[in-house]
This record gives sequence, structure tokens and C-alpha cells, in this order.
Amino acid sequence: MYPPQFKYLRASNLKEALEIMNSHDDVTVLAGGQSLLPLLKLRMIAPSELLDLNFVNELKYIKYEEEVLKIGAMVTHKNIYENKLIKEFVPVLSETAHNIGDLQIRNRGTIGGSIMEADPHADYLPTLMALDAKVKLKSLNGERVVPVEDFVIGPFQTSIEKGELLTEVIVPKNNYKFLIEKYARRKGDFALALLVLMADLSDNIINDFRIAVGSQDPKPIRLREIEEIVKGKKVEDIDVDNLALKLKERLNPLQDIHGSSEYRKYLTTALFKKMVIKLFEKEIKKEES
Amino acid sequence: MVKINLKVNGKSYTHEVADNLLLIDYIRDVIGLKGTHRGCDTGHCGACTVLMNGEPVKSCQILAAQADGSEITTVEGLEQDGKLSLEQQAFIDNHAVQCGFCTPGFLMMTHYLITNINHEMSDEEIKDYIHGNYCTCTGYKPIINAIKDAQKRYFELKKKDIPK
Amino acid sequence: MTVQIGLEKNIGKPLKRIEDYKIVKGQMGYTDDITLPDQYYAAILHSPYAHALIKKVDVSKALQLPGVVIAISGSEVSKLTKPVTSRAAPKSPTSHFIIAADKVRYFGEPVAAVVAKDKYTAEDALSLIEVDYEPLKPIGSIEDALKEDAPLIYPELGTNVIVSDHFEYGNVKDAFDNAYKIVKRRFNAHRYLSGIPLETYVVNAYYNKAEDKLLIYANDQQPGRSIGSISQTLGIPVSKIRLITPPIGGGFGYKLAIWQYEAIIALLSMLVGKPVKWVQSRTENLYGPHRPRGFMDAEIAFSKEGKILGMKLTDYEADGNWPYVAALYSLIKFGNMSGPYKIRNLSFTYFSVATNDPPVVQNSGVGKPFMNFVLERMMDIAAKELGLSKIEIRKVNLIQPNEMPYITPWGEIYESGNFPLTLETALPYYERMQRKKQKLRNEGRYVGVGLSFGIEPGTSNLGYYFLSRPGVPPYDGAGCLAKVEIAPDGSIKVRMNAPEIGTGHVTSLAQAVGDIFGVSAYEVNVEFSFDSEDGYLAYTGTYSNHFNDVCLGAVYVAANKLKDKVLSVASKLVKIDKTNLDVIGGYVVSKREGKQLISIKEIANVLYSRLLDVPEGEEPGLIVTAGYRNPLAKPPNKANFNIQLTHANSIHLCLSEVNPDTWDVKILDYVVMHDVGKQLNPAIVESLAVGSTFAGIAGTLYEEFVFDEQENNLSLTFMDYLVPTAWESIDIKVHSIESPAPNTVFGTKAVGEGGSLTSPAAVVNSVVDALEPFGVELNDMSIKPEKLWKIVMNTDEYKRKFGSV
Repeated sequence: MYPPQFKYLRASNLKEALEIMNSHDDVTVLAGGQSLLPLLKLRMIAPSELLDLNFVNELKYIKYEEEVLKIGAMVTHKNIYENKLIKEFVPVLSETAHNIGDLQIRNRGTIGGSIMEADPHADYLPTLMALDAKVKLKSLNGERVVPVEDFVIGPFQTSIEKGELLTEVIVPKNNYKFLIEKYARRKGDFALALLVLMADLSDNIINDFRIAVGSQDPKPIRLREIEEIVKGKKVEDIDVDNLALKLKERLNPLQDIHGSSEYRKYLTTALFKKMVIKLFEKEIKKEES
Repeated sequence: MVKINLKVNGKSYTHEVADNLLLIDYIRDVIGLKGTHRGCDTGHCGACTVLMNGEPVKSCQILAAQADGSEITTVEGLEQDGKLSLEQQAFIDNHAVQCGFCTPGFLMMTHYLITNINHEMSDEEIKDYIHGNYCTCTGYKPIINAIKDAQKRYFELKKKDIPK
Repeated sequence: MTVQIGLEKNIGKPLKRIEDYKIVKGQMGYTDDITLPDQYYAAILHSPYAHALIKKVDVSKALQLPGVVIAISGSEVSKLTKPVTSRAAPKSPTSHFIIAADKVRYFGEPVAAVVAKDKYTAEDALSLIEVDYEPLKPIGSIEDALKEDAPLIYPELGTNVIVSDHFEYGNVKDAFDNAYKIVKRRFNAHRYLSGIPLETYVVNAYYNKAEDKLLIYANDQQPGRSIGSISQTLGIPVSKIRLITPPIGGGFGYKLAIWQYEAIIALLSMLVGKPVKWVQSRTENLYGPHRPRGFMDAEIAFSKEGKILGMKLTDYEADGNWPYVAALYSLIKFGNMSGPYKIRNLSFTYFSVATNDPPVVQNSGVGKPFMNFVLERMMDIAAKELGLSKIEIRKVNLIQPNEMPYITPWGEIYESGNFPLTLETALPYYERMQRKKQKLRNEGRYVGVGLSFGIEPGTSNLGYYFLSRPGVPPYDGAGCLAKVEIAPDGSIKVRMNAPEIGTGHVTSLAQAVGDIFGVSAYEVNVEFSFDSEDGYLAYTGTYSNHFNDVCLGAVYVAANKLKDKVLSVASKLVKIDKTNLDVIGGYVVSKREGKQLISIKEIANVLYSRLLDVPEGEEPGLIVTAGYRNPLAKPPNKANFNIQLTHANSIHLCLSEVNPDTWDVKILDYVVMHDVGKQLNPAIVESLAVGSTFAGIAGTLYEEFVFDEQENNLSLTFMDYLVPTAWESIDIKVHSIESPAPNTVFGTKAVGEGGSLTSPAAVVNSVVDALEPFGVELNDMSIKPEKLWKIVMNTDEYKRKFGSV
């Protein structure tokens, strides 16, 4: 119910934050805290030091430069959802942010914190993977940029190195037609099935297609093999059932008391079929089996 | 220990608080305002909802230390000179209260919504905003009615240009 | 019973609630809002095993943490306290202590407790307590518990069946021999809480060594009984215990079981000599108690026309692992087993079985939701098997209005109600839903209509606890005390010494007393809270919906006695015959002319201050305390007993759709047609009906406590235990008819938990109807999308429509 004891550290700017990350051995970053606080209150973790980034205003920005959106790590889900630049240039991210938790949680939770948490159920990950988004990691020694898909390794695990902080999310502009399907028992819960489909269509030809699926073990997946099958084809030549079969083979859903792996595979596949039909406004003739 | 300076319902406070003190416990035990309630351990039920710099947040999900420099509004801050606010009256008039444990959290959400949403909200829209607050007594419908009613009254007031 | 009241100004009006004013200001004053001087805090350590021996508990490290003043384990507690016993079982277990001593029997059982100067430190101390467990194989299912070689939860009993009994009436054998058709099914109940309170348990206990007195603040729904249980457990005389119950943030029956924790915290306070407060975390709250899981085998013999000739019920409940409540669910089911139907030949057999499930508590309706579920599912199933409509089969079995008061074969008295009229009034809504369903089915959607006809009783005759044991029961019947007074300034005060759980009792009492004295409800001051100093009965509390019966009764008697005294004194002061006088609007008036003769304030002035003017034969003061007991309650006797003393009835209609991708259920329309007798405040009645109906729906569609093979509870946060949010809420429309109860002072019947009794069956019946093309049956009270998918996936319709992917 109450967090265990720890030392609270606060950085008032990025340099201070990086210095602390560099010199302290065992420091846990406190971003939005909407995932961290429950873990503390349930006594599932006992960090010795917490570094609060909420006062580092340098990490709170949304910029659009050269067809790329640059989002500071400490931007909240609410700000992402309401931001005009994001609505205009990468609307799928806006809708993704709106699906997270509830209003109160979205007022505190951050995109950087969410990516760092690397919860395999997280809403952002499939979307960011479908967008080929990247993260910027800074330390006192320099910076590097890593695709989100590579950065998240497994459940609650990223490839961040000691002394590094995730400072920015880099998202290429994308105005494809998109559909997000998130099925959960209640609004705001983690999904039992989470799919993101995006398509660039012109004259019935699919120029580009993206598909990413969340809530998978060990991490969300981007299904490039399916994308390859679809790319360049005419809408009427898409065999939905065949794609669904290929999808099912690749699924490895996480399971819990709300749904077994078997049910989630079925569900994800069933929703995928509906989404493809809707996305391509396709008339699918069902083959009698 | 961390030194914090903040405002609660318009009044300024300075305190030295434990590093791990939760904002909800600061409000309830240090400031002594008991209207904000604890209903769960995981930030689900929303009974602890307060406004932080005008935005609804769950005070059990924030450390007191993180509230340094902020302005907090709790249910006790809604009434004006001892007179019930629009939202408070709307909840009474719409029978949106039974045991009352969830009520302060919903009142804070209502205050936020009516002062920030400029169009008449539908039932579905309201549900989309308030699903982070649980009620296990009312079945929610009377609360949704109360929020609609509160918004209507707020629009009436604004039309008459009466300061809220 | 005719009601003598003045102008009916308040009763029947949807007045705004008086209690809401302080609630919306955030000043309700719940138990955690109270801090005593020199306050200390407790934390409780819980078992991570469902079944294990406790070999050793080492608290030494916890004691070294600065701020910790005491840490105790079950071995000490078992020496200082008496074990928890069973009320319903003839032979009680003797090894179950309020903190587990040598063995843990359920996941989450308390095994140790600490006290520290601040609450954060108390929780820190828990992680420093070292417990050596020897895990034992847990018993999770009733079948396992009943096996020959099953390990015994209570070795001293020699069996895992805590108590069992058989009741039989009429000629069951003949009924079945002459049946045209016998329908037999098994029905399953899951563990959930229908109505889970948002406020968890809070106890603040102070043992004052100097006075040798124990003061306890707790959000306790049944403080009258708790004091007795605490006294028995700790060995302290009842007269030395003062229990105060601040307003409760949600009861639902859950807060009947808090006395175990009151005893633990009181014991801690006695050991440290300081006030000790404990606030239950949500995790602890979800450990238990809950409603029990179990199953019932039902067999009904039908005639060709669908008339019920006889019924056999065999009930198994996994509730034996909390001896205090063992068998209560089954016994309540027994008392409600025929619902609104005329069934004269019945048998009921029950087994209260001990497993390693967590404890059980009398959550809303206790066994009634499940009993209603069994009956209403059976009616739908039988309708199909007999080729009758679901309405016809019910119609032909309903108890008729000219049979009221109807006495069931075991002695339950249905005091009033026109069941055919309830059905008839609901029929247009039913038919409208059927038309909507057909329209949507034509679009290829899976839509169904479900109906549930429920009896919604109130006021438990507490003798029912003792039906299965011989001897004189320690308590039986139902009753209440109330105090009504006119203060020296002439204002009217009502003191109901019972816990406030938020169900509108303050306003309802104000309305009732307001009418008796001819004033506005808002002029009546009602104090509705429990303090044992103000006098109580063993039954005192706010539970089993007995407010509408015995509490209103006590207030009615006290208020009318007080009014009578006012009239008596007034008649002597103004020298007019009492029969020509009435009390209206703060004055004694002459009935004939309506003239105000003397003010209440003046009379109060005489009786409190000007004692020389008190008329001959009258006593000073204007305070009346009255006790009231329900006159119809019978002593426990299997051949003739009434478990519940008032009976409302309702029909619930549910239109639902099953999504053919997710197999989730969405309710499209929901109607409640209820008869709760006279409605003191229709707005309060409607809000309670809506809330309790939704709580029952929540229990069916969302809420379930899930356990793994080791009987570990996996539903320990609101991420896992799914309380529906506003997004999942539905629009429940409530309509009513009124058959006043002849046996309550205002003709009121119970409302409060009623909806949750009748809604599960309506929901499940509608889902079975929606899945009609698949030809499947559902006889579990818990519906989940995956469960529905698994049921339909092997049917021909599924293969035809969806193939297989």
C-alpha cells in the first residue's frame, strides 16, 4: 500500500540528470510514475534511489523538422493525443496515446517512460514499430539513435546502457490510412488483442503496408513477411484467409487470467480479418469449408 | 527528506516530507484534508483524484515530492464561501451519491470537464472521460446525468457572464 | 396495519438526500478520517500459501526496525484468544484462530501482525518477518475435499463436511413418479463480490489500561454481533467494549466479516497500550472474504402443461473454511428455494464443505442470487424441452394473488404481492425487446432476450443460522431499537443506532418522521450512526435489507409514542380532548378547526425547563426509546420456519448481443419491473435498484476471483479483478408497481440488494437465447468471452459460419 523507503533525487536539467545517471550505481528513473508507483506500492520493487525527471523541462517538447516528429521523452500521453502537429503528421500516434489508461493516467504518463518500461502489453510499442520510430539515448559520453523495434528486447527489458537516458522519440511523418484495434475487457485495460494496420493506397494498389501486433511474448512483433506479400498488390487480389493463417503462425501471445494463448491467437486473427476488410474496403467472398 | 512548497486550495504550504510520502497521504495526513480517499493500490479506482495545476491526476500515483511547486485542488476547494459549487449541487439534485466514497473523485473530474470542455458532452463522451473513476454503488448512470446537468448549469452561468 | 400519519407531505416524494450535503463537501467522516491522540499503526502479514504448516515465525528483525513496538504471530494469538467457531454446525472446529497458529488454510490468511509509530514503517516491518512454511497439497475443489482419502482441513472434525442437512416437504417421490418430464441440471457459482466496497476495512482500537476499557472504531455493518464475537474471542466482557461505526464507504455485506480484524487490532492495542489503527489495503481486501464457489444439482418434475410437480435440490458450497459463516449460503437458498412459484413437494440437501478456499461472507443476497439463477435457468430449459413459451411456463406456476399471504411448505410467509400482475406489467417491455431482437437477428446478429423473475426478500430471521443444530438458539428473530426525541428547542431528533452505509436511510427516516409530525423532512434531524453506548440488540446493524422492516418499525413506534405524549400533555395544557388534537407543522392543532393551539416548542419548554408546569400524570422530558421486533418471525424449526420476513418481487428483462469475433457480451437494453411495496422515496428506491442490478450484472460478466492449481488467488489488483467502469455501464430502466406489505409499518419492502439477486439469471438467459443458433446451454453464473467461444467452437453452426482458422 505504501512505497518502501528510497532516496529521492531530482534533476532540474538534462545535464544534472545525466550526471546522476553516470555516477550513481543503482538509480531508477521516475518519469510519469503511472507504472512505477503501483510497483512500489505493491512492494514488487525496492529501488534504493529514484531520479525524478518531471522537472527537466528540456525533455518536454514536440517539434516537426524535415518530415520527422521529434518528441521529448517526458511528453505526456495527453499532450501527444491533443497535439496539433501529431494529429496532422502522424495521426495514428495520436489515437494510440488516447487508448492508454484513463484521463488521469494520461496526464502523468510519458512516452519515454512507457517505452523504457517496455511492458509487452504497452499501447505505444506496436504503433512505434509500425512507424519505424526511433529513440535517442544520451549519456555524458554522447548519444545514439536506435530503432524502437531493436531497443525493446523483451518484457520490461531494453538495450539501454548504464549512464544513458532516453531523451527523444523520433517518428517519421505518416499519413497512411490506419486502423488500431484494441480489444480489452474494459476500456483502458491492457489489450487481449492489439493490432495496428497502416496502408498507403492509390487507385486500388497497395503501395505500402504495415502491420504490428502487441501483447506478444517476448515483445510486440512487426510482421514484415505479411507486409511483403501485400505490398504492390491490388486490393482485390488480397487473400485475407491466407494472410490470417500466416499471422496466426507468428503469434505468441502473452496469457493471463483474462485469456489463454489459444483464445488470444484466435481473437487476434479474427480481428485482423475484419480489419483488413475494413481497411481496404474489400468485399471478401468467404470460401465454404 | 525533501522540502516542498505548494498550494492546496489556494493556500500556500511549505513542508519537509519523507522521500517516499505519497501525495494522497500528504493531503490527508499532513494538510489534514480527508475528502480525498484511498480505494486501491494500483491507480485504478480514482477515488484519490485531485486537480494538479488544473489537470485531474490520481494522488496515490504521485509522490508528494513531485508536487513541489504545483497547485493542488481537492474537493474541499470546490465550495465558494461555504456555498456548494455547481458540481456539488448537481450531484445532490441527480441522486448521484450513495455511500459517497467515490464522490469527491468524480466531483474533481466534473469540475475539470465543465470548465474545459466547450461543447455539450454526450453520454458516451462523458463515459470516455470518467472511466478512470470507479463507483460500485450507483451503476454510474446518475453520475453521468449529474455531470451533464452540471455542464448545463455552467453554460447558463457563462451566458449570464456571472463569475464562477 | 393502518398507518396513522399526518399530512402525507414527505412519503412518496423523490426528495433530495439530506446526507449528501456533507458527502459532496468531502466531510462524511469515514473511519480512516479519524486519528486518535498518540496514534500507532498496524500492518498484517498474510500467507502466500493456501495450505501449509507454519513451522516458525521469526519477528526479531522486525522488532529492530526503529518505530516498531510489537510484532506477534499466531502461536501467541492462539494462547490469548478463543478460536473462531461455527454458528450453523452442531460441532464446531476448534483450531481456527484469528491469526493462523500452526497451519494456514487459505491464501492470504493472517500469520503475523506488527505495530509501529507510523503506517509506512509498519508496512516496512512486514518484509522483515521471516516465516518458515511447509507447503501442503491444497484442496481446491469440492470433489477433492469429499474424497475418502482427502486431507482434512479440520482434523478435529474427522471430515471436510462442516455441516450437512436434509429438508423434505410434501411427497417428493410421488411427484417424480408421476412426472411427464424430469429436467435435471447442475449449476455452478463462482467466487465474486457483488457490490465490492470502494472503502476497505478500517479498524482503530484503543485499549485504555487505566479504565480497563476497549474503544473500537470500525466500518462494521453488524456491530451488534461483532461486539459479542470480539468479547468471546478476546475474553473481555461485552460491557467493557465500546464500538463506534463511522459512516461506511460501501457495505454490500462484505463489512459483516470485519470483526476478525477488530479482534486482532484490539488485541494489539491491549498489548501495547496505545491506540492502533489498521487500514486494509486493496490487495488484502481482495484476499477475501468473498462469495463462495459451489454447485447445485437441481431436478424438477414437470407435468405436460409445464406445472412443477416437485423439486429436488442438492447444494454444495465451498464455504466451510470460515466456520463462522459455514452453511449460511445454503440455508438462505433453502429458505428461498421456490421463488415466485407454487411448489409443494420439495427436498433440499446441502453440504457445507471445507476446502482451502478463502473465507466467505454474506455478500448482497447471500445465496439468493444463485438460487434465483437455478430456478430461472431451469424454467428456460424446461420451456424448451416441453415446447412451451418461457412466459407460459412461468405463468402456469406463479403463486396467485388470492393465495396471499402464501405460506411455503416449510413455513416461509409471502405476505403480499401480485406476481401475475408483475409479469403482465412487464410483458409489453418483453415483447418490445423480442421485436428488437428479431430485427437485429435478421441482420445476422446474435441477439437474445432473457427474463428472470425474482423474489427479493428482506430482513433475515437470524434463527436460520441454527436450523441444522439442536438446542436453543443464542439469537433468533429480527428487531431494532430507535430513539426519537423532541429537543428543548422543539426540534425533532431521530437516533437510529445503526451504521450508515449510504443507502438513503437518513432521508427515508426524515421523511417518515416528518409525516408523523406534519413537518418537512428537512426539519427532522436524523442521527444514523452506531455507538454501542446508545444501546443495541444482537442484530443491530445495516444488513439483510432489514431497514424497511424492523428499523422503520422501531422508529415508527418511538415516534408515535412521542407524538402521543405530546398530544397528551397538550390536551392537559389547552384543556381539549386528545382525540380532537393533531400535530402539524410544529404545532398542536385542533382537528376540527385546524387552529394552532400550542407550539411544540412551548410544550418542550414545559417538559424540559418549567417542570412545575408539567401536568399531573406526565413525566418530564420528550425522549422515547422503542424496540421493535418483527411479529411474524418463527423459532428455528425445520418443519415450520420463515427465513426472511418481507418479500419484494421483480422481473428483469435483458436484451443482449454476443460479438462473434470476441464473444464478449454487450447489453443493449435492460428493464426492471419491480414491486418493492410502498416507496418512501422513489428516487432513492430507483437509484438502489439501478445500482444493485448493475452490481449483479458486474458479477456475472466481469468479476471473478481466479485461483491457480495451488489455490493461490490470482485476482489481487483491479487489473485482475474487473470492476466495470463507467464505459461498461448500461442504461437500466426501472418501472414499478406497489403491493404494500401488510406486516411493515409503512408497507415498505426491501430494496437495496434486490437487483443483484435477479439480474444474473436475466443476463445468462439472454446470452443463452442469443446463442440459440448454436444450440448450447450455459449453466454457470460467470460468463467470460473465452468461455463462450469454447462452448460454441465445436458446434455445427460455428463451423458453418466461421470455419476454422
